[in-house]
Amino acid sequence: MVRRLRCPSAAVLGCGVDERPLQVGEDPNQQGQYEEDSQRDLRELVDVIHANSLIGVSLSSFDGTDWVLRSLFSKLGGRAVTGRIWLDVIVSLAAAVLLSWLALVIALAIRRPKGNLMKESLRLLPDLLRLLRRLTTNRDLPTGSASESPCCSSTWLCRSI
Amino acid sequence: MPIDLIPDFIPILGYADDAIVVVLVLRSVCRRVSMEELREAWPGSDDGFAALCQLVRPAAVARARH
Repeated sequence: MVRRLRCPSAAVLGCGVDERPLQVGEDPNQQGQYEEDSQRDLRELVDVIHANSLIGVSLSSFDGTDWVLRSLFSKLGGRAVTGRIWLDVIVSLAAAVLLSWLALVIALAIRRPKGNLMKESLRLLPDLLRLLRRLTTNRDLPTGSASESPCCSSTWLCRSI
Repeated sequence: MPIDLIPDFIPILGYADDAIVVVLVLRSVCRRVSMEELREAWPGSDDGFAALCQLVRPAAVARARH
């Protein structure tokens, strides 16, 4: 079953894209006509994200040009690691989740759990993933006014990595 | 472009600012729902939930203790 994200488009549309980079041998005066292309690609990207709840699936079924994704990713603060844009996004999100897990483990260690610390720490990672998925896909939960939904915030998880 | 407070080539400290931003985002995600809704969405144990609350709602935890 495909669960729809609640409002991922606001974050994507909010960033916009840079101008399309010039190709070798291209006339700079023709740059304007590509603006239409980038708008179309952006709309398509938003549709694709709406239709899939998994970011990796979303990006792999996106048919538009690579530079639109690249531009969005760098505007969100992502850094090129692998050279493939969807891999970069996945690596960023994974790093963000791992950092969150680490922070949770430290908080757990400080509070001294009743159970085994090692066992509890290992449980935290799948629990965190499930929590994030529930918070970002549950339509019954109220939406915040500032960025519309937790989903937008979670896309910003990759911002700093 | 976002600002990197401490450049990442400095060992350990360089990544600390990234960790702070990640935790802040996690907080803002979790603070959009009430404590009860957060407990309902948390699939793990009470110990795990206590750690999560410590991280995302330290004020509520301190109030509950008094």
